[in-house]
Amino acid sequence: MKTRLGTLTGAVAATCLLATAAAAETLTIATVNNGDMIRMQGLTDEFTAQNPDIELEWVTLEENILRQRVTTDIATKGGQYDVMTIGTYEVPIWGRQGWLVGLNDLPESYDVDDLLPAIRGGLTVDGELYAAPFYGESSMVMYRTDLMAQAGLEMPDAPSWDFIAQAARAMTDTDNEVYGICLRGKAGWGENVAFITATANSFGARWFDENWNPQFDGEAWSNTLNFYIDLMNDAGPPGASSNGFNENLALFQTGKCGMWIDATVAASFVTNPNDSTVHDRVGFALAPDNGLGRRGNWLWAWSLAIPAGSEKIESAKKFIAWATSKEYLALVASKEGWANVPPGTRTSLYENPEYAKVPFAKMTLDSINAADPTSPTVDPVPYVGIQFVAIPEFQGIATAVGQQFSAALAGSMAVDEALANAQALTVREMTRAGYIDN
Amino acid sequence: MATQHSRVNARLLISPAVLLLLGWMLIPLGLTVYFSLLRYNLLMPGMEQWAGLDNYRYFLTDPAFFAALSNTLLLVGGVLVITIVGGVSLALLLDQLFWGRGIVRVLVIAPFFIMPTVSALVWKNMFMNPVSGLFAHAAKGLGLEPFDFLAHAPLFSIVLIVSWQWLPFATLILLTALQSLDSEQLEASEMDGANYRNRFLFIVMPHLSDPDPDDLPAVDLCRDPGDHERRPRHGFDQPDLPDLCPIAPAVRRGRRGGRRSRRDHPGQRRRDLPDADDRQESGRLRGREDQDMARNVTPTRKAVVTIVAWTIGLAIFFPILWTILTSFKTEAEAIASPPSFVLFDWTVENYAIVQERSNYFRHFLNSVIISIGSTALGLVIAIPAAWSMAFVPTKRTKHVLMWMLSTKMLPPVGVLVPIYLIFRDAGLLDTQVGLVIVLTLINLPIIVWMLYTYFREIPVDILEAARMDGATLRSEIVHILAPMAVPGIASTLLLNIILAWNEAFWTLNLTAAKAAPLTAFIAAYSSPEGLFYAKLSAASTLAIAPILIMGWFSQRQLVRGLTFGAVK
Repeated sequence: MKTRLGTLTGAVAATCLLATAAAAETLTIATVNNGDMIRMQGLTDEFTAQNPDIELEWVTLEENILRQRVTTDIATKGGQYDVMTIGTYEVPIWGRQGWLVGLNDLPESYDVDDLLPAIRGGLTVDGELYAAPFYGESSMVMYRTDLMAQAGLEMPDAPSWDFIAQAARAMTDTDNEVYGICLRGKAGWGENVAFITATANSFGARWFDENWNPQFDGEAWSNTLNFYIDLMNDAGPPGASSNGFNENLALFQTGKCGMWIDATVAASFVTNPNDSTVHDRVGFALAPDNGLGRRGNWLWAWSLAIPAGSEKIESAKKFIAWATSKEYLALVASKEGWANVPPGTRTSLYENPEYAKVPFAKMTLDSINAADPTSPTVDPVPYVGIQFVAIPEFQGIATAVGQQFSAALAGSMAVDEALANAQALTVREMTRAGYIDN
Repeated sequence: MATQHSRVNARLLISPAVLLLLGWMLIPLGLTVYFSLLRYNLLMPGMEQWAGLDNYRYFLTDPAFFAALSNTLLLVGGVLVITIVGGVSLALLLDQLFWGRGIVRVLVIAPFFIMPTVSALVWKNMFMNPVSGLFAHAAKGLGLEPFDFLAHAPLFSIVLIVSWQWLPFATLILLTALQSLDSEQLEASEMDGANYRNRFLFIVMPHLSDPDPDDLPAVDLCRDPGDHERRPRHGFDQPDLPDLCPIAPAVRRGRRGGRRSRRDHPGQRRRDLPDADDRQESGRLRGREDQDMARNVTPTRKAVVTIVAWTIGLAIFFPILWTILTSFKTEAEAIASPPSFVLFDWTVENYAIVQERSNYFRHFLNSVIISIGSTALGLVIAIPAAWSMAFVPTKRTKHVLMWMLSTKMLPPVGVLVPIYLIFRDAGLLDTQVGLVIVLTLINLPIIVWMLYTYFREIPVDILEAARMDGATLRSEIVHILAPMAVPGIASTLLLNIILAWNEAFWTLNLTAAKAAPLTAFIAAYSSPEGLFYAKLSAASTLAIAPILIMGWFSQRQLVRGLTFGAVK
């Protein structure tokens, strides 16, 4: 019995050794099921052809599930992923915690100085780059040129909120299921709160004053929310309170929205002839303002990062450098056309004459450049971030606040009540977290 | 009477199940209680400090807490009402004679096999969406304003979705109970001139409502402390066991006809001798088909029932059918208004895309391994435990069983972090072994309890006779108990495979790539950018097809296991 066991163990050990010797290193990559990432997954073979000793294992998940998974994993140092897709909200917080591997030592050929300064700044903590941007986005107005002309209006490059409201009401034709404006209404810190917070900035509102006192009881927030809800009631689609990015994208692509103010990255989807019924009738403009010096556009970059403690840092760096490189952009362009390359990360892309022909290229770059996460509001604030506040407590608070806003949009709660609730719950949580005394 | 020897054995047999569940409960629970007294934010490590009862204070003074509590109660209450009323009506309908009864039964049961994640996605997007959902199309077709379900009646919508999912199970159990109803009694009352309404009110209802088959849908939650009637059985003192869940009474009734209906006929009260009961019982069951034929049904009535039953059956099955149909459409066609039912260009491109993007086969294989593995392991642990509880009960048996079921009430989110930490340290994250262990532990109470109810129906005389003939404990189990218990074990096995297959919390949170089952596969399609109804439908169809097919093929076995208990 003993010998048999011994032989068996030996055989197993030998097999394992052989297996490790023969097998390539496998990187497990967690990513969002957005179009650009799915395209990246589709190009796996291009990467492994260049790096035969690395294999890629994809975990593609819906955004909220992905965030829950990677957050649990990094906070507990679970080590299930070698590369994580995270956003500009997570990078500064996680980087400061020492949870991410610094990327300042990427090879010369990567040309880190080519990254757009606004985007790179959002991913850098104390001079160390902690994630490489896969695609960057701001927000802008996308509108139907045909419906705008029909309404007898002309969209300026930098519209005001008053013009947007007027145009939205003029374009609405409920009988034909055309709604003047589609905006996010689905509760979530990355959904309606992102849009409304960015809008609030242009109305002169802010989340906190310099001493972290919540500001939802101020007039600026009341103006913002009343404007948003009146506009959506008059010119929005039915069921707007459950519409997020994807729902609005589907509405716009099927010709049901006159205007849509959302992520710049959506431009390539709404102009794609395969998916969009209105691809040849879309115009772009900067996010609106109220003449107060701030526009309602945000800044976000889905980025690739390596959790500290990973055993495959070298391979992971190779992959990240490949997926966010100039060569990757050229590779996608050669396969899918310039309109489909991941936008908003590199200066060289916007200097490329081929890319300049893409209808939304200039407006995307202008929108990104118009965003400044370090000074997001009219009045001073103690935080960084335009459509979010880069503190760990924000996700929880903002999701609860988003539910209040969504309820107000659905009509199940008055605007004043929603704001009072938002104020009360934010004060509570900030007191609990020790930012303010009570 | 159980001997000293068998008592010791019994304790040995039950201990693996008890120790495992004790560990499963105490370790995470202890850690959770510990965390609850700290100021602990996962995103701010190193900030942990003693917070006393601060977290509880904030929790209880949170206005959202009571809103959530009342929403939960409304949800549970709403689902219970719909599943009870709907379940009784459906069970009564399916118990009638009509053409195609087997097919309709299969249609009605189908939603029970659907992954909750799939059913939520399908309902939310393809039916309730106020612009491109099917209900919106129907409303527009009728010239009405589309109703925005999730914005204006969110709780109602969720109740509807959950009820749709659990109605089949309630129907299944109630049908089982109904078919165990003594039809001689019904015939007698019919001859005595009782009309249909009276028969329903005075015979069927007391039978079904004894002692509350209603909370069936919430198998995990049911804890009805009713029925404290002492029942000395099989010659030794049986401890009181509250009927925690209603499958038990259904099974027991299946064996011996409803207690209350027995009470209605005082003359039958003495039938407490199991043997007489059993004989009559098996005779009755054998005669079931003959009785069906003997029931006088006019052709008109049969035709009406057929139409009604088929309409309802198709309506319940429709969401699944619609998903399957949509999976063969192009994305544009999937949200087209008005929608086309079958007259579209059928395409398999969605399946091709899904197959290209994810490794379906690996997810499928993981699902198979995890659900079968956890069920097999669960049975190995549960069979001895249930055996000893059923045959060598002690004063504590009832409490042990209650406690086992109570471990099901731990909210998984509450123990996620402790479990995640334990799994990380044990190297079990993203392994099939890890998932098999977790799913075994969460389903073990149900397995033990189902088996216990079956085993209790096995006449102990046979075992005692075997023991006198010198059978060892082992041969007692292998040669006598097992063959008699096979139907019960089989239906436990089937039910548990379904539960494990559809489990979507642990399977999603403890896996990454290597051990990810079909629940993770679906999460990649749940709400991407752009149009996704057709791809979501294709992925959903692929995820539910295996268990749906298995469920359909085995539904007879499932019903039989529930109906007949363990013994012929």
